[in-house]
Amino acid sequence: MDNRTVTKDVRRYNSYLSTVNLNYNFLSNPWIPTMWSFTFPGFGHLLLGMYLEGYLLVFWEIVVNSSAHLNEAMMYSFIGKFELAKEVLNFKWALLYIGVYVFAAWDSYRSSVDTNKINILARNENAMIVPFKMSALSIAYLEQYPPRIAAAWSFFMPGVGQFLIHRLPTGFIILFWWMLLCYLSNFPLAIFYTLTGSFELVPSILVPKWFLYMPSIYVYSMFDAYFFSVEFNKLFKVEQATFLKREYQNKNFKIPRKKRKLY
Amino acid sequence: MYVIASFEHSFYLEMAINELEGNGINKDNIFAIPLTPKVGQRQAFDTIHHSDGISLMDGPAIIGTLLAVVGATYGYILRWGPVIWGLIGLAIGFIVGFAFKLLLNRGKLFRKKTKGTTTEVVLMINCYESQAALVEKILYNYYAIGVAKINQS
Repeated sequence: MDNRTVTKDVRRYNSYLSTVNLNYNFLSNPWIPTMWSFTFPGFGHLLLGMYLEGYLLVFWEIVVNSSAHLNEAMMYSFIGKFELAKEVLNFKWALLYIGVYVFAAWDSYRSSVDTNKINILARNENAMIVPFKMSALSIAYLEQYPPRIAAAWSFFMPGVGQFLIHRLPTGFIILFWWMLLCYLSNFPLAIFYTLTGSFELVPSILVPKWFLYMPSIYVYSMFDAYFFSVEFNKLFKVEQATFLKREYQNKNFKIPRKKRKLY
Repeated sequence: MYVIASFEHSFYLEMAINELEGNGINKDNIFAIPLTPKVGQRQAFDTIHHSDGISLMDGPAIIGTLLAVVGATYGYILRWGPVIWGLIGLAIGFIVGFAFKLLLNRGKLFRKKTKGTTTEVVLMINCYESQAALVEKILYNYYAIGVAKINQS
């Protein structure tokens, strides 16, 4: 079964299985992608399966935020050193930041509202779900994954949980930025000093400019792995139930019954 | 002769059907009834078998992220450093978000809980009496939850 034959006769559908990614349009509260966009522009779009927008916005966020020194300014403001915050902020970039930041959040909300409507319409069309796909380089299939295991993998190494549930584009971008930010922010060293108890060394070596990106990426990675394994488990069940109803409900099957005289 | 079994959705179910067909049970004599889960019967935690609950992780994850960033920032001036305070922020955010979510959804979550395995598919096989033992064995081999035999001939 191919995506092309499945989607030929329907106008809208909710899942698209390719060997690179299982893209899935799910019903959700629009505030969830919006809040993710607030924590890190682009993540709302990654969650909705709009990878091109997501990739652009994540790239934009890291370039513009670090050029504007926004993370450092944020840190100084939090700890009350407002003078330092003003000093470190590069206004030339910071003003450019605002527009796209707000747009990313607003666009996540709008897209989520739209994809919710499309989800409902597509359900009505009952497009078949492709359960298996194989190419020269990969095999992809619907499976049931324990959500906690996927989240645990992303807990130990962000991005890996996404590989487990076969969402390679998300896994790739998370793993890529995570490794780069780990390197730039001296995060592994900071962990080493924290574990050996040399706490006073940690702030001096951990670069806030790069480190402050990392909590959002870390938690998003766990959330995404968890969320999509839950959704894919449902998808697996729906697909199997549809298959069984189609193939194993012969009209001539005699249902067992007792013949008893009622009168 | 009827053999009736209950299953969860899994690859094993399809493999069981596959093996039955391989052992001479005609496809038309196998009847599968996937059950639609009762709406509102939700689980507090999503597992591989009960994943139709409301996702409890969205709120906690977002609040956890926010507090992790705040914790990491304050970590620069607090004693234990950004790593530990970031994690403390994450944990607090997670617990607060989780408690909040549980509180909001308490009606849905604690209404009725099903423990252990749940039947998701009922499988009926119409076969000769001589085949029944084999059918039963195959079904159990592929993790049927329960199997019943009914003789009406």
